[in-house]
Parts: sequence; C-alpha cells; structure tokens
Amino acid sequence: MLSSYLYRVRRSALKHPWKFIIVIFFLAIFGIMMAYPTLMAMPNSDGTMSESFVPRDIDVVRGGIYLILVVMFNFMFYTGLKNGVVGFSTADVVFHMAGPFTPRFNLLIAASGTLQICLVFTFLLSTQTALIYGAVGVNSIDLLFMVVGAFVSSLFGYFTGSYFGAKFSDDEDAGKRKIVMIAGIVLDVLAVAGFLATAVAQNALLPFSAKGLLGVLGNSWFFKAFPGGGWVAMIYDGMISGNLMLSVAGIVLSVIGLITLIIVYSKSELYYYEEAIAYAQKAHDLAEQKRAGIDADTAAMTKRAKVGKEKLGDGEGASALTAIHFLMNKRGSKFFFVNPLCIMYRVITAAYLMFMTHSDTDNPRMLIASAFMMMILLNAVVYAGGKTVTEFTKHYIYLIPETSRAKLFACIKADLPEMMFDAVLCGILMYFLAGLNIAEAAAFGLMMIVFDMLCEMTALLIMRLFPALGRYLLTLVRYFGVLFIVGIAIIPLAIAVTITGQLLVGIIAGAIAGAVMLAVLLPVAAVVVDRAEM
Amino acid sequence: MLTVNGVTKKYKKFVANDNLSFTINDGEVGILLGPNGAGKSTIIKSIAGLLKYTGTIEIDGLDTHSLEAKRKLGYIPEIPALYDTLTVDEHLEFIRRAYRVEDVSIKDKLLDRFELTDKKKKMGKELSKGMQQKVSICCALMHDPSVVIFDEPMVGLDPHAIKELKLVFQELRDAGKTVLISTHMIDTIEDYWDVVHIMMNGKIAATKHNVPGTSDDKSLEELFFEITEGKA
Repeated sequence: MLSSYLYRVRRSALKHPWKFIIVIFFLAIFGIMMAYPTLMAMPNSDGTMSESFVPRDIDVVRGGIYLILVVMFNFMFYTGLKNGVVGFSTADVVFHMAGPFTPRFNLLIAASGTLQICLVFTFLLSTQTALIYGAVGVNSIDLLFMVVGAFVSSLFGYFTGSYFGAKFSDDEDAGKRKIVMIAGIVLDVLAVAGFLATAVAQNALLPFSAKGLLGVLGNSWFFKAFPGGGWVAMIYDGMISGNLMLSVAGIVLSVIGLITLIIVYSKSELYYYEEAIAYAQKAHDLAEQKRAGIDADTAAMTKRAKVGKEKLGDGEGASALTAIHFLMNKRGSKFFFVNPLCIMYRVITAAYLMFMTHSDTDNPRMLIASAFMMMILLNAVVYAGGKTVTEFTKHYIYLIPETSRAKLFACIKADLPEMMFDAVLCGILMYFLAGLNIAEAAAFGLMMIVFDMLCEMTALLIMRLFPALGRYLLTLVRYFGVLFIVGIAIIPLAIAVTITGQLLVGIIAGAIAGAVMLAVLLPVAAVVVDRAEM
Repeated sequence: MLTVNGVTKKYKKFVANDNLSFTINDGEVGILLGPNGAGKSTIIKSIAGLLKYTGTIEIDGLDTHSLEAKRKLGYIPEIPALYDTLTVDEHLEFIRRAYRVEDVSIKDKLLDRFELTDKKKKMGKELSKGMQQKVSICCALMHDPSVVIFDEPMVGLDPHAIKELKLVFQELRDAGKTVLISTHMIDTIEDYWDVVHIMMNGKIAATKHNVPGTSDDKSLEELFFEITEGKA
C-alpha cells in the first residue's frame, strides 16, 4: 500500500516537473517570511533603527506562542471532530477499504491527508508574518518555532479530533460527539477564564494592553497545561526563558500525548468507513467538476443559504447575471450589499486594531500599515475567490449570447455594492481605531474598492490562464499573484508618503495607481475570457 | 443545420479531434458514438464554442463563436454545473432572461415535463446528480434553440427521465431542429437515430445512416465493435 502511494507521488512528480518549481517558489516565500523579523531588525545606514522595527519582549513572545499554538490546536481539533477520518480518495475506497486491510492499517492513508491539511494551514500561518511581527515583536527563531510548533500542534489537534469524529461517526452517536465538543469548549473556557482571572489579579486586564495581556498569558499555567498546543509551546518557552524543567515537562507531556494517540488509534476499533467514503465521493465530485472546467462553489457561506422571500430582480441579457448575483448575495446574508465573509474579516481587523491600539506602540504609521496589510490580505481571499471569479469557470456564462465584456461588467456591477459597503467599514475602522482623519479614511475606502477590483481581475486572469493547475495549487498561485499585483500598486503609495510626508497624498497615489492598473487589466480580462477554453 | 468542417483540436501534442467533418441537417438526430477518449466531448465542446480549434463550425451558417450562433444553440454538458444557492425555478428564469425569451409559460411546461415542478423551490446544492442533469436539459431547451447538442445525456438519469428525453429527441426532430448526441451507450440510441458517426482516436471511423425500409448487412452494434475492437 505504501509503495503504491509512493509510486503515485513519484509518477506525479515526474509527469509534472514544473510542480517542483512551484514548490521551490513556495519554499522561497516561506524563507522570506521567516527572515522578515531579521530584516526588520536591521539598522539603517546611519545606525538608527528602522521605523518598522518592533522590539522583542520575551514575555510577549512567550504569550504569542502559547496563544497561536493553542488556537491552532483548537481549530484543527474541531475540524477533525467534524470531519472524522478524511483524506481518502475513491481509489483508496475501492482498493484499500474493500481490500484485505484492517481499518486501523488503512488509517495510514488518512494520516497523509491530515499531514497535507495541517501543512496548508501552517503555510498560511507563515504568510501572516508581518502581522505576527507587528503584534508580538518576534525574532526569526521565535517565528520558526511558532510555525513548526503550530504544525505539530495542528497534527495533535486534528488526530485527537478525528479520533472522536470517527469513533462517534454514526447518527446514533451524534450525542456522544456533541459531548466531546462540549468538553472541548469547557476546556477552552476554563483556559480563558483562568488566564483572565490571573490578568485581573495582576491588574493587567483593564488597561487592555495587548502586550501586557500577552505577557500574562505567557505565564499562565492554564495555557501551559492546555493539551497539545500548550505542551508543545512549553518546550520553546523553557528554552527562551532559561527554564530547562519547563522544556523537559513540555517534551514529556508531548511524548506521552503522542504515545497515547498511537495506542488509542491502534487499539480501538474505529468504524469510520461510511464517513470516509462520503468524503472521498465529495472529493471525487470536486475533481470531476474541476476536470470539466468548473470550480465548484464550496464556500461555507453557501452551505448556510436558505430559500426565503427574496426574489430575482429585473435584468435581461447580461444584466440577468447581475440580478442572480444580487439574489445569491441576499440569500447568503439577507442584504445584497453584505458579504458575510467580509463582515467576519472586518471583525477580525477591528479586534486586531483594538489589540494593536492598546499595545503601547509609539509608531502610528506602523499601526496603519499593518491594518492596511491585514485588510488587503483578507480581501484578497474574499475577492480572488469571489462570485465573479468562480462564475467564469462555469460553462453557462460562455453560452449566453452577450459579449464577454458585457458579462464581465455585469458580474463586477453585482460585486460593487459589497465592495462599497466593505470600503465604508474599512474607512470607519481606520478613522476610529487607526487615527486617520475623515479625508484620509474616505480616500482609504476608495482605494480599497480599487484594490478589491484589482484582486478580482488578477484572480480571474490567473484562473483562466493557468486552468491546468491543481485545485490547491491554483488557490495558492491565485492568492500570491493577487498580492503581487496589489503590491505593485502600493509602491506609488509608499513613494508618495516618503516624498510628501502626507498620508492622504499617498493613499490617493495608491488609488490612482490601482485604477490605472485596473484600466489595463479589465480589457485584458475581457479578451482572456473571450478566448477561454472550458 | 450543423456543419463541422476540417476541425482539428490539439492538447499540446495530443490530437483529440483530427480533421473532423460532418453535417447534421435540420430535422435529423445525429449521434457521435465512440469509446471513452475517442474525442466526442471535445468536438461537442468545440461546437458549443467552449474550445479553440482549427477548421470551421457553423450553426445555421453562422460561426459558432458568434452571438447569433449562441442564440440558436442549446448545450447540455456531461457534468451539470448549477448555482449552489439558486432554485430550480430561478435557474430557468435566469436563462429565460439571459436569452431574452418572452414566453414565460415555457418554463412551467419544461418543469412539468421533466417532473421538476415539486422541486422548483429546491436549490442547486440540494439536488441529486440526475435532478441537476434534468435542470440542465430544461435550461438548454428554454430558448427554443434550433441546434441542440447533448454530451452523454443519459448518464445519471432515472428510467422515466430517459424515456422522456428520448421523446424530446423525437419531438425536436419532428420540429425540424438539429440534434447531436454524444454517447458510448449503443443500446440507448437504437430507436431514434438518423445518422451515426462512429469515432475512434479523434477521427470519424465510419458513418451509418438509418434509412427505413432498407436492410443493412451489419447492425450498429456489429459495426461499432468491428471498428473499435477489429471484430464483429
């Protein structure tokens, strides 16, 4: 079985040698991300520190590591609990599950799938370096441990969650699965409550200082004792705080946890085949649709959509596309101008800004830059994978007897209200939490609309120009391609701010640069769509 | 009328369609028959204007990429692609408006015919694959196209829908429409075909006409296996 798996990997690598280049590209990105704190800590030519330098505070770093590792453990634990044992293909179902192998033995296949899931999430975490650096002030070694630790913690979380998910996969066991979930939540609440109690006792809560709170968290035994994430974090905590016993305790607990997982998996009779088959079928359907040129809309938001009283608005020809997009928006969030994912991301941005505002920073530009970066990173996810982009992976749109330009504009028109509403939210956040004045906040909102559209057009071009890339690879290429293009538009912003010292001038320069790039990309996208192959 | 003239489609070095030429006249049901990988879906997608190719494809004398040709074409893909959060009724309404069809009643007629009336409030994500295929068929017939192409239309359909679809083929033919069906299931086409093109390795290996009253020495099945397996 293992040899057949390795054979498939080898064959795929030989058949698609360009995948090596892409892997090297992502490794390079990973390397740059890890080196980011070191680069930021380099002094200027006159010996002064860079404006973007964030001093390292060991207590804050320790707190940051505990927080991230515990969050990653939790995230993957609940994902595993919900999905059960996944990572099987339909071929695995036919040849392994139906073959003369025990369910325990077949879990090895699922392990490779789990590794991939955890690797993807860890990579995504590593791309948030700038934000982590801005909030915590880590050095490159801290960051490297944070990412590696997050990977190990994710594996712990996923394998623990998926064990219970598989054990209680039957409908009649739904109650037991719920009990496990409640137990997990209770554990989370206990950890947070314990930490808050310590913060209150140390008078660290009310100032709501991010660094102060992280400092308390770094010393919280509730987080140290937290299964998986806390144990792994303890290893590094002991190393940087000079407490060898802490590291030893972390290693011992982690090894005990690992051995327990191995024993539990190898001794238990898990009946996970039904769920695994359902998952394999779902993955197979997605691959089939991908083969047919369709990028299925798998967004979690569509899963919650329900038919209500909303009606299809007016519009004929290409405008019918605008009408159905508005309808789908309403169905997803009750309002045609609200994108639930954007709202969620704005809440995250607001929390981040509040956290940073109270983090004793004396560098408001750093705050603005990191908030802006966070908004762009999140909006790249929203609009690079939004309705307009996925629309042009379906064959219907190519059959509609209207010009490609008309169809493209009709789709963009449907996205505009969402973008405008989001831009208003961004402007408000920047006004209240990042200290921008009204003119700057308004210009910032305008720039976000331009950048959102830039994200959309770039993603559309990448989708249509590289349709042969695999699903995950295409998502990553799309994401980084979008960030690269937006990055170019940001250069004039940086130059204008440096020359004039005026943030408003910089934002306007950024918006104009983005608009110029958009003016070039829009007709190109229309031509590419016109010549697209399904 | 559908005219395919000297169409070649390559994927890098692989020739999926090699200088294909055939014509399906008005009021004819044409079949593209062939094993998996023969190039049937490729030529179907080319006719639908979804692929680039060399050669010419015309729908009623119009280039297949033109907007006029698109108005005259109905295409049912092998794998249906519906919107997850639009209902069956909204899919049809969307297509009606996108194609600027004025007759509103055609929507209910199609829903009724394919037994989808009770499913009209169901969203795309809630439908089985067979149901999705039925919606896909309704969408393609919504604007009363003069040329209708089906890519493996029977896959995933229940017996009633297959029976209904066969009736649709015959009705379309009787209405003077051009119908082209790609399939690898010989037994599903025995009773309604007019011309069959047997495809092999991207080429048309044989063409057989269904002329009533004439006795042919080989059945369609015999001819198919003779070509694809080299034996009768």
